[in-house]
Amino acid sequence: MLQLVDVYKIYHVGDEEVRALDGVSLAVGAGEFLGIVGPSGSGKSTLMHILGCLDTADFGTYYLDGRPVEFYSESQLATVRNEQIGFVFQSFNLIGHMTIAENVELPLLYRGTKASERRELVHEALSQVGLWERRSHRPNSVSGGQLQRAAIARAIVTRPSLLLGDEPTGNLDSRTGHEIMELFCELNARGRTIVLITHDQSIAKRTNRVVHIRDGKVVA
Amino acid sequence: MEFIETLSQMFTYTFLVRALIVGLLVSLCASLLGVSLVLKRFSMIGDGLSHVGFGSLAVATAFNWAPLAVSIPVVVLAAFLLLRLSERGRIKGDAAIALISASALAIGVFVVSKTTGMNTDVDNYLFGSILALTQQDVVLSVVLSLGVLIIFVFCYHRIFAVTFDETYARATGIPAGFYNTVLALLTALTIVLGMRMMGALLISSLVIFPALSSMWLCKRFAAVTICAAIVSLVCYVIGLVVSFVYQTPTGASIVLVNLAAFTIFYAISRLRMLRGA
Repeated sequence: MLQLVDVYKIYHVGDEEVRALDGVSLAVGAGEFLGIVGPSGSGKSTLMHILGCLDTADFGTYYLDGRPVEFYSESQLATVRNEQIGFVFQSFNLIGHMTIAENVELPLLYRGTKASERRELVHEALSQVGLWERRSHRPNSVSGGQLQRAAIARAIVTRPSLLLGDEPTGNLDSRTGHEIMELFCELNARGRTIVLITHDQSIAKRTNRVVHIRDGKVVA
Repeated sequence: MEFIETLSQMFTYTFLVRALIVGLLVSLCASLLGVSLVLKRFSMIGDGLSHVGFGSLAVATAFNWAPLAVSIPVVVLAAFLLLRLSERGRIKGDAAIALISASALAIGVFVVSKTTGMNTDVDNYLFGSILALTQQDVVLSVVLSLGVLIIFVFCYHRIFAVTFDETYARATGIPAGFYNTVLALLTALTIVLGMRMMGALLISSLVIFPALSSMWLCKRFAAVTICAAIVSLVCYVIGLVVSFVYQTPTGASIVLVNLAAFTIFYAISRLRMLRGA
């Protein structure tokens, strides 16, 4: 489903050259649940940005569904993100003055989905994460685990082919973190392709395959 | 009745009719853009751009060039520059605004002192004058306000997304950079059009005050936006009437009315909190 071939991402800090990604090659098949593990500064967030089409590689090729994305314009990348990728962030990124259901509905509003279809999709997404009963609550009146469930519902509401998680359990206690991982496992069991980035080995163990990254290189 | 009589008396003067039309349209645009700018913490962009506007108007006057033909491209360019500096530059947003703002003001004052001297024109640029408005300003204000309204209606959800969470907006496929550029461009045009009426030192109040006042009472983006537009229009009309009746400077009168509205809204929100507590 997605494949990185010899990908480099290089930043310049003063006179120094920092290779955030140093020849990374990686393939993820459809329906796979991959964990990318690495310490802080290892290049995993850069990798996540490239996999999520939020950034492009300086060298190398990234194939998404068999098509190289490095020659895509910013608007084409935006279309890919909107139609094919769902993001879950560490800090939930929910809007405080809106209800859980309204937050989940946002990506559908951005793409101009009709109201009747929006209601159906929001119901489906919130039911999948077990939050339908809490749909009218605001983010400040639910727990951290429920916030992340809402963020996951928002990520899957557009039915993306790829779900990307950037440290999705990073702001949660270990018990809630494992509950969230349980949810990711359920979503994967329903056929969704998931790539999670984490520094926590115990979280990564819950995925089907683990890739270790260090100093911008895949080491195992 | 007295108020209506005053209004009908005002409308017998062409320059006041122009001031009312341009002012209402510029106030509407400034308040709509202001909500996004304040929430994105770009409030001072209006202030910075108005100083750039002063600099460019001073240069245009000194060389006898058409004021709008010079200031529109210069202020638009400054808006893009400020945006880029805030996003990518080593200089942070507030420092970049202060840098450009002070430099533009200094250039303006320097050019003026070496050419025409600190005359009435310069005073008008700094503190505003409703006499400065032309028929061309009326046409430009109509075009600008139509542009802002159309963009707000058709791109409401996208502007909302970019305003509240740019990272997530980008992740969901919204070209955040494009919408930031559109906001900067419209702000620049609003500033240039409103500047000669309100003055370079006061125009940013039309961007900031209505949004801040509305945020005391409304919590939702749509409600804040609509409330800001209404507050801005009402304050403008009251400020203009006060200026006409009491012979006070128009820009300063409008800002003071906005300050009063802000204080009243703040007091209401505190009362609500006390009752709720």
